[in-house]
Amino acid sequence: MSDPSSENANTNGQGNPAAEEKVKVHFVAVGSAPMMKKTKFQIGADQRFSSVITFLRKILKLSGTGSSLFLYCNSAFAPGPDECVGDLRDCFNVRGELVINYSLQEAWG
Amino acid sequence: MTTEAPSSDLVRSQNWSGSIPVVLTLAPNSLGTTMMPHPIHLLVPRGTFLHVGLRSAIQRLHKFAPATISLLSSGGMLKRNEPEPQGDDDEDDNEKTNGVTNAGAKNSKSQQLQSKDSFPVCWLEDEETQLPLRWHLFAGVLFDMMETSKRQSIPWKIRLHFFNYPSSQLLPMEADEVWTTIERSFKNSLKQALFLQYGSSRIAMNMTRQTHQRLWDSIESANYKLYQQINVDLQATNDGNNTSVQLLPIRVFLDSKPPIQRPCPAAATEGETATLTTLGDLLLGWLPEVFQKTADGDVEPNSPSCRWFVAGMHPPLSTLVLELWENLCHPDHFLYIVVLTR
Repeated sequence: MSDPSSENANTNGQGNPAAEEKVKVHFVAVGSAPMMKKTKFQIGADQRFSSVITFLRKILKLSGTGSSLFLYCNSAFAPGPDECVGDLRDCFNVRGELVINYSLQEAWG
Repeated sequence: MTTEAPSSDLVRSQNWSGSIPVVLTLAPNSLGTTMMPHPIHLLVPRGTFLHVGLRSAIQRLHKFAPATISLLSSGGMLKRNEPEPQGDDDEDDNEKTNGVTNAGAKNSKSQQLQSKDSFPVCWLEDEETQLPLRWHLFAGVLFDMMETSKRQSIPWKIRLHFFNYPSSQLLPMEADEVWTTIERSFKNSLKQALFLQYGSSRIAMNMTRQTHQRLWDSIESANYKLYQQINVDLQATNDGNNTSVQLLPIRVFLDSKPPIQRPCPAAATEGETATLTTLGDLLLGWLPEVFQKTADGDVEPNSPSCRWFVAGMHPPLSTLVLELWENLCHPDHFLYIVVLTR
């Protein structure tokens, strides 16, 4: 997950040192979702949100199981899998962190 | 705002009535019968999703796909779920089609209730570029993206596939959940926009299930009046009072890449003066590799082949982003700006 995938570095623009830039993602369990020992992870700013979904499924050992997992930003909405993690942080961060709630059931419609 | 300017309500309602002529053909490798069905011509509203705008046409062409595919979609047989405005009646070009439809119509009511979600998983391809069309984007945005430098081809030629879903290029779409997936994607996009506008999730979370449903109905039926009844409370800046907009929900697409979405205040404040952001300011900030500043302070594209579109139009770079957003944002409140460099 820490792969900065520098091939997209330029798309991040605005003079950021994009290849190195990381976003602190804070995962918060909702309802009966399993807790994690570590809840904050650094994820490359130029990654798409789909990689956050894949990453969390892996951590929660849900990969390949087909069980559902719902991710929400700020207990409000599910970001699109094609959205950029860095953009989400810039638009919706709480004290610099991107707060992602995860649930095994649909939580916020 | 000058008094001569048309109200944003009028502009939006006219923008809603804009449609794109589409000709839909079945991909040869999705054909399950010996006869290739005729292509279907129809108008798709710019502010809807392709699957929604093409629903009746997709259902008609699905009858020519191999039978195994219909078994994969939960209900088995394809069912007609409601009277279609351009249904089979006025285009009786194929008797086989009607035979299957009638058989389907005999199904019980309970199955009819599920019929929306027995919609087959399918994907659409732009014939000219052979690119898969992203189902979660509005038809108008996709059409602007597919504009080629050679010509803007109308009708828009789209190919329908029931096989080989390109998972690496399109967001996942589960069998039995096609309609729920598209609706959910719209709803989340709207909630995201409301968060940006109001700086909190309060307005979005106060929306009832019924409000969401009516908004979705207005998109399915391309009914601006119905939309506006609900939206007037959600997008309260329509009366020109823009103080409540924290950030403008804006997405920029550069060629066919995923969206860029940055925080965009309606005005930039320097000291005590606030300058309203122009389209040029925004594009220069978000796409510094495509736009540049001229000697006299204007913004221009780096290359003459660069074009930009907002709802099918080509607004000057001096246009205020706030005005564009008020007048031309999509039903999910996002203003979509397409920039093409090729």
